[in-house]
Amino acid sequence: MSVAAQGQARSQPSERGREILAQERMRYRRAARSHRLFLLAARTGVVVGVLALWTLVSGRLVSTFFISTPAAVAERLWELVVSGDLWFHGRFTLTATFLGFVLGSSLAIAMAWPIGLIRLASRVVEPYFLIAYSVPAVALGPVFILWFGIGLTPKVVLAAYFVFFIVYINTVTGVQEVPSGMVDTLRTMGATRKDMLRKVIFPSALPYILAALRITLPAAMIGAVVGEFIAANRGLGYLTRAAAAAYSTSGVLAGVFVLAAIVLLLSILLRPLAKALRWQPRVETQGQAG
Amino acid sequence: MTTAVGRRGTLASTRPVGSEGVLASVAAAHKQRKTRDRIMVWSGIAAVGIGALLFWEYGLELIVNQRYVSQPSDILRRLVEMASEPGGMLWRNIAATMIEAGSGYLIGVVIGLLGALMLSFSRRAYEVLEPFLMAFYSIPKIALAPLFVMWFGLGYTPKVILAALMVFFIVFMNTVAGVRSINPDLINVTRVLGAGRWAMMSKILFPAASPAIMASVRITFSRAMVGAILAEFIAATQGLGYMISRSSDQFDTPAVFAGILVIAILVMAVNGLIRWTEARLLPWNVQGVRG
Repeated sequence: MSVAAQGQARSQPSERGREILAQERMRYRRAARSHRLFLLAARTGVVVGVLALWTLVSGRLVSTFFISTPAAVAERLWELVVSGDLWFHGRFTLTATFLGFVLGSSLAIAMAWPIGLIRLASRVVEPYFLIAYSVPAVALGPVFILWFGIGLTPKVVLAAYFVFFIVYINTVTGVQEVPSGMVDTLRTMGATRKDMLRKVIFPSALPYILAALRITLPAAMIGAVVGEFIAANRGLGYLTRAAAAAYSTSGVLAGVFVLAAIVLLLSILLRPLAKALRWQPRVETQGQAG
Repeated sequence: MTTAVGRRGTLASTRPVGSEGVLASVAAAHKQRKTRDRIMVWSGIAAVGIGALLFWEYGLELIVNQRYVSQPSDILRRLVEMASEPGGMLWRNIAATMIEAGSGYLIGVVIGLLGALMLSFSRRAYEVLEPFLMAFYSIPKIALAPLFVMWFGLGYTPKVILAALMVFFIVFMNTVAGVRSINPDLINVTRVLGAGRWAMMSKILFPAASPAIMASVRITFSRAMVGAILAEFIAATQGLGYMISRSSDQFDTPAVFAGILVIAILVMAVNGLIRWTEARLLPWNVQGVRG
């Protein structure tokens, strides 16, 4: 293709050449279409195959008690939707997620800016942040429950904790990873500190911050759900755990399905955030969500 | 910083005679500034740490009830008390959690690595499975904890599986990304030279993907720990997670903090061990690591 394109740019192709080009283009298009069809068919095949296998195995090879059936899970999901339970519990989880996300990320950014700009400060607090970051956030769940009871607060705090360190570490990295050539150039041109912040440091830190925000929204949700696992009387985590306590496999699977769907939806919704800064090089984000 | 100094040093050796005195004084000044810098940072670190501990010990109870936040001295006392208990409960809990997290970690790393390398042979298979892998990757694995407890009971199994699952996807995804980032020319040349699958894997795929693999192996132990502890929160009869959640139910705040302290120490110790092993095995690979 590229050779043909070059030829076209140099001079008009002959009649025969145009024919060949058209044929080639057709063939390429056909191959691409058949590849797409193959992928679609194969992926559908995988889904159908898994569901069929699950239905077949359940009750024959493995007891239905343990793995339920796709139909039973779907039925349970439908029940949850119709009875309004899903909305009731989902509301609490989503509220905790968003409040925790906003709290954790705004605190992290507010702290990371001044600390990241002062080298000495960032080097002094760095070991403490690394220590705190290496403590599994999950382990703090019972502490937050102890402090804030079993209401919404401990879930918000836990979600915020899940978010905080990832956003903090990435923001500090972004603030400090400013191309030094740019800083020197601007300084030579007589930029004030304010100019420097607005024109260099902020734009170069922005992709890091946005990338961190993108991966931490699911993390916030995980924090909220962990809080609900440990102690709660409402929320999707509670719903799932209560189903497990009642030995309702279809209930647990329905809960897992809902949680997975929400997290997937959140990450798909946030995908444009990464594309919004297309002119910036892709940054390596540190930290992971559970 | 050090490379800049080193470069300046080599330059100095090629300079004509006479400039040595100036260079030496510049180098001395630089060294002095660096030493002063380091002293500042370390004293700052010490001041922050000691200040925080002192505040926690003496100041915090003026603001919040001491029952909730405990005191560093109380936590230490409780830790020593638990460590020297006749039944050795603390040690048994540590052993249980370490067995769960450790075996889960190893299983997750090995399966993630093998799965990704196997999948890298077939572009087709990867393309078909990609959306499912992405979906599984992004679902919160911890949501599966109640299910595993239901399936496998109260013993080690559900904790090991959850820990392995937490590790598996990170290693898997990183390995796939590492394999896919290999320069295709390298693969083509190797193929032209007549390499078989095994040679291709051992000589090209694995070495080229090893930085990405190591990056994932390095950061995932704490995730294995999270998996094990969370499963212990939900249902267990031993382990640090069990100990913490029971102490929390009994309002034994010092014991809760002691448990968290132990977990933090364990995670940091294992991370240090992994980094040390990596420095031994792949010395060219070690860089500053965070996160």
